[in-house]
Amino acid sequence: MKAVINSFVIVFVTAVTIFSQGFEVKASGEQTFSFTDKYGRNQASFFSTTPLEDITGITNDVKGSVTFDVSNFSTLKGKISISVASLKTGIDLRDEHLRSANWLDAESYPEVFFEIKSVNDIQVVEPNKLRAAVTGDFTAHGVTKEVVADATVTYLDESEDTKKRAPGDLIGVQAKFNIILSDFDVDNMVLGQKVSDEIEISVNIAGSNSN
Amino acid sequence: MNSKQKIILLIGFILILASAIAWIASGGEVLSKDGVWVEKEQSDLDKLLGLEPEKEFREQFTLGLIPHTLGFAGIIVVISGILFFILKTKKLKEK
Repeated sequence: MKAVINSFVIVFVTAVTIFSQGFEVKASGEQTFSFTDKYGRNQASFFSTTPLEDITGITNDVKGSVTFDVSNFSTLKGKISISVASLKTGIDLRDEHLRSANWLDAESYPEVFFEIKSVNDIQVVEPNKLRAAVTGDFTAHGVTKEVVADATVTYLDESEDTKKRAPGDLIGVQAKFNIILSDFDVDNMVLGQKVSDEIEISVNIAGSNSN
Repeated sequence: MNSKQKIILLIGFILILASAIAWIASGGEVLSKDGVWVEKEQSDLDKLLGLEPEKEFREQFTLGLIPHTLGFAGIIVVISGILFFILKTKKLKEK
């Protein structure tokens, strides 16, 4: 009888571990996290590599919010945006090119944004850390394409340490996906092929549910 | 080829080799750069949040193959060629 009970417990724990799709934290129910960042710590970046040159562009002007049920991360919805004018590549002239009408056209399309549609392949890395494939609509230069981002989300219950950044519970989001520039009507020939047609985009942001 | 021409060729070769070594030592970048992105020290909270280190731009000139190293090598080749030709002509006149 004891062996049967032990087997049942093992099967139950294994099943919970395999099928769990949420965080094991103090909070419960639906939570909304805002990425408003008064310290300018949140970053989004793009990376282009060609035989001639590697280019990294970075912005700290990342905004947005996400909402999800703590016990079911597949309910994730939300939108993250960055301002085109805030992108810096380290060379002022190149930043001007980036903002120009031939490129991202900051005047006509001041924001680049990612709107979450669905979440798949959720893996529990740790009780407070999930990895997932997040599908969403990425919009740049007025063109919207569906992309899939590999995201890792870490949930921290409010503590004395987390209060140093913001009140409330915190989440850290680290996500990456690739886009094809020409899909967004951006001509990479403008700069003499110094920029790759395939661009890697990363976000590295933290948000709080206290707002 | 007289001894002066040999010296010119040797000096030119050494200068081009030195510029190539300087280029490799400074990172081997194709294009010259005015700065680099460096990772800032990460707080314990950022590590707990699973975030990557924040990057910031730091001014730091990096010698590039274009235009600096190739430009310098080109100038050396031209000067060496001119001197080589002048010294050869002088030798012919002496004969």
